[in-house]
Amino acid sequence: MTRLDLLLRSLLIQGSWNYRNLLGTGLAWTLGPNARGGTPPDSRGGDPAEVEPSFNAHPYLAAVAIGALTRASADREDPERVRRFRDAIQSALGSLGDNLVWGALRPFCLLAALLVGFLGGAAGVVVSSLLLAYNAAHLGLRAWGLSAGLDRGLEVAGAVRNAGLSDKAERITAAGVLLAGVFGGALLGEAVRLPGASPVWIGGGAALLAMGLLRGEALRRAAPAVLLVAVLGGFVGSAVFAARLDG
Amino acid sequence: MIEPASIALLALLGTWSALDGTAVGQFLIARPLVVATVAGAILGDVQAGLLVGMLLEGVYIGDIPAGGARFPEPGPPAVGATLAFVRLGGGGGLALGLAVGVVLAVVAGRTVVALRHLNGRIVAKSYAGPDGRRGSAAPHWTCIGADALRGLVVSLLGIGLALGIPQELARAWTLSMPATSGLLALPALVSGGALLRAWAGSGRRRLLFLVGCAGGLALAVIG
Repeated sequence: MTRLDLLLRSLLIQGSWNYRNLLGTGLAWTLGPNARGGTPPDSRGGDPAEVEPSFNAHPYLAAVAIGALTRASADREDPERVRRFRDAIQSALGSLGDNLVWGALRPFCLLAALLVGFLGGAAGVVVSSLLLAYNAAHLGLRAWGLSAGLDRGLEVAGAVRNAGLSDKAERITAAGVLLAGVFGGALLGEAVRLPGASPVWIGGGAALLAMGLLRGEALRRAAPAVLLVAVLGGFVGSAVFAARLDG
Repeated sequence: MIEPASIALLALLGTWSALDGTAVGQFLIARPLVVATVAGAILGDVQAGLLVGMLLEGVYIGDIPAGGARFPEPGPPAVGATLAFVRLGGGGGLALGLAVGVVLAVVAGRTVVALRHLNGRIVAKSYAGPDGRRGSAAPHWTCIGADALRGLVVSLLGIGLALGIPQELARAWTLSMPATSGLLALPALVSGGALLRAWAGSGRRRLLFLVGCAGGLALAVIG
């Protein structure tokens, strides 16, 4: 398989994500029949947790493992060493990817797109710039990971460490905080200028922001329910208004 | 009247977004901002789609799908949410569309969990044949097919809900469009606050936030 084949296959590594062996089957499919990823070729049995070892990593950084395992197969590395590598690297690829991509890059890009939309950017500009910017970083990360794995094989951990992915995540989140501030300021400026704006509305918004800040994850999960309450409140308010008009 | 071809395109869009969420690519097609805007373009009202997408995105922006965590899935339901707004119009249409989106996102999230259990059975079965032969291609593609089918069903459910809401219900909403948008944007502040909590731990970060606020206010005043 060429690098491009592996890169394209890596896009589907989560296709069979399941609670038994997680990405195990997806990794086996991505590597193809020539690279077994540390699994003995005569494995048999009925349970995939026994047959196909469990594997989990961030889908973008899984490319590092794909490259390294492909290289290990070509180099005919000792299967036991390959298995140990596979077991050892997955948690690092998971936590680094989660922090960098899900925790920093993705919300940063979405926040930037929301700000552009809020400031009156055309819909096409909002969506196309979001997809282009995010996926340039996304595909770049996958391509880098695959190359690092293919070049370094089972010694790839040093390349991952030296890439400074945690520092990059820190820089993106710092930029995200600045962007969130710009958004907050622009939102406040717009809210004050709206006809019918009242301290109650602005105070309510500030209170919700403060609640999110104070309670974090616990309250973030309740945001959809808050939206439903707002919808219900809008209907109740409309009914009260209509009743007053009738009266 | 919504054209059948538009409905078919919306169903395809919802299916693609379901696949993009986990199984295929993760290109961000699955985000409600993207799905709703494209759905709006399909329905001939891209601005309506952008508004629905922005409001839904604000609610779900901080989700971190780490390690197979269980979350609502807002992508495919954004199709139904946009259709409801475009069809019903006004503040009532927007409110009802968003309600369809968040309720269906919970249902869709449950189907993701069910799919992952099903994938486990598909993978197990493929190794449990008489010869116990290894082969990852068949179960892998079967799982992707099952996810596509799931996405299609969720999308059609959203489309059905959007088409089934009585027009009278939307007319009962009397708030103006700016007031409706303001009210329905409030929940995004909860998510925004939570995201900020995760990002702005240090004093230097809080200072950055305040600097950004001043810049944003200046931007709003100049604009």
